[in-house]
Amino acid sequence: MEISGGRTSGEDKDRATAFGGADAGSAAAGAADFGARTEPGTLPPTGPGAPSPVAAAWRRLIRNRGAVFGMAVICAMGLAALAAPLLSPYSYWDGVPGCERLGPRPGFWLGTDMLGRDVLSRMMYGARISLAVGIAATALSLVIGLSVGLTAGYSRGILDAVLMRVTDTVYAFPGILLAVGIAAIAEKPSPWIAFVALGLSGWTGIARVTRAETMKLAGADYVLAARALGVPTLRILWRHILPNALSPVMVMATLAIGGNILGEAALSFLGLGAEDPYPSWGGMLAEARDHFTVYWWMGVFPGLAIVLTVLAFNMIGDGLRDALDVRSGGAPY
Amino acid sequence: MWGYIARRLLQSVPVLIGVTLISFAIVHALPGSPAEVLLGPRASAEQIDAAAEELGLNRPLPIQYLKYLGRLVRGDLGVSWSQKDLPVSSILVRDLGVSVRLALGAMTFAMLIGIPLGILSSRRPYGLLDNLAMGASLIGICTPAFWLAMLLILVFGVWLRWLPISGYEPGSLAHLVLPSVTLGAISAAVLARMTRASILDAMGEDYIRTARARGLSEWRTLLAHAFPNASLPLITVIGSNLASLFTGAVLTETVFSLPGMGRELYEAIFNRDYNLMLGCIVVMSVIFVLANLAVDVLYAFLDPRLRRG
Repeated sequence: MEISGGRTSGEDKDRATAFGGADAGSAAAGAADFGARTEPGTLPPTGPGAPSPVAAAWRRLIRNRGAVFGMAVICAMGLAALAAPLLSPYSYWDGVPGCERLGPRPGFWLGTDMLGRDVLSRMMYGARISLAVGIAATALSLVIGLSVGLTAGYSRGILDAVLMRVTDTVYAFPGILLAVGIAAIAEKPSPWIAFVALGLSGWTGIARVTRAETMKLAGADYVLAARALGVPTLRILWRHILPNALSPVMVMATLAIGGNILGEAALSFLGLGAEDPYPSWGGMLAEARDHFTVYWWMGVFPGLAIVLTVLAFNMIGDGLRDALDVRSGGAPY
Repeated sequence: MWGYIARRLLQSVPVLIGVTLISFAIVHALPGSPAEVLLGPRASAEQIDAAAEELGLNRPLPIQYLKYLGRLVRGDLGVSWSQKDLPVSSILVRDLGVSVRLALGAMTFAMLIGIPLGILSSRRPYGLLDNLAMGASLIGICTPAFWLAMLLILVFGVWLRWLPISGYEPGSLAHLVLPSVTLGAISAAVLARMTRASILDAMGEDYIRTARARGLSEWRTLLAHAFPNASLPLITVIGSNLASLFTGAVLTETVFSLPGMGRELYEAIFNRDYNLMLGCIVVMSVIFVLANLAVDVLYAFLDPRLRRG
């Protein structure tokens, strides 16, 4: 716990706030802070013939039951999303006349909605938006966060101070305004809003961790050696610092995907996500909001899909933390 | 200590100026002028122009921004255009009352559930109780709050009819129960995991061995020796979570129809009520920054090792 760092809980927690209250998301928040829950690891073998660090980490990862479960869930979700046109029993936008508001039954395994559309089929298409936005927004945050963190950590001085104040500013900024602002400028709801808003606001934690790692590595002997040899700064950052700073960032990013999926669901719930005939999980919950006390299946199953997917990413993130041996990874402060 | 506080306060000045600058830019980038929204679709171009002139919207943006900052440092947040020219500050004071109660309720719930659960879990790591509690808290972290709210409304409001499902009455605690549980669920899960992890950390220390060697009972060792030392990180979590809970919970407030700050901001955006929007953001960011500062200071104060350093 570093005192000047300030913020403590996971970054996603605060993003969640931004998007609708501490309630919107949640996320990775927690998962980030807690001690690892694995058996004590064995010492890695060294010397010639030893597996590469990546291979060793992968082997530790696939021994982690939670992480394997998470990866299996994500693969299944990904498959359902990609192959939705082939696998889904009904269309996502056309209701079956006479089949409105049916409960779960053979044929309509998860029931139908107010317009007679199959809930299962709509959820399969909805998985596309959740996964795509969750991953793409995290990628955007990664690009910004890594650039800012590397620059600030390696340059120190004025540039560092300025970049960190900018990071604090974005961190303190209510993201809901950003999302609604982008929504208003885009003039109609679209998943792009969630992608841009979540990506532009979720990078502050990644930047802080990257900065801290960079500062630590910048004084390492091999970096000094590279500088002495006249290696250009960009190449030092890319080849010598980034790969070694990446472990905690990867853990954070995995957890952030889950957080962004929750954020996307929250924005869709507020009506800023996908536009009506096209389904998203948050949007389906918004549609179900007025009727779910009677037609419970419309509100229960999309919510379960969100929980399961976010859970899967969190379990992979926890597994990665153990496999990469990141101490308190993801919770830099 | 005082030097540290002064330095941190000084650091937050550029942050707050940055927040106002970004929000000012976004607010003015929104399509549709407040004059149009105010006068409705039937207003003529001349009327809209006159109203914009009156509201000061025709001046160059940097001038408008500096004027806003000038009023802000004097504590003047302007008037709300969409709410009968009420001063923004009095609207926000009213909303803050609801938001603060909601945040405190949520944090109370989180502490009542999270901390005991974490303590119980740490008694027997990887035991049945621990696995159940940690599994539940992991699921809690992954649950969208608005969905949790829907389930709570279904069970406690509709099936059991125990609690009101929406609205707010001053002085009525019952109206705050379900929103507080919704908003506090994630913090409860985070706290349970933090409590468990930091107690397990503390249990490995020498003073625990000493306490055991003195023949203290396990519970006494845990509660009197391990927990006080383990509670330092918890204070940070509680403080910074509280800061996030304060600054509005749009979804919780929307689902339960509570008139708090988050909803005010959301509605102000749609009404293009510039002053109200900016006022909400300024107040939220000030609370957020100050609360985080307070947490750090409290932390330093409680940990003698940091106090001296």
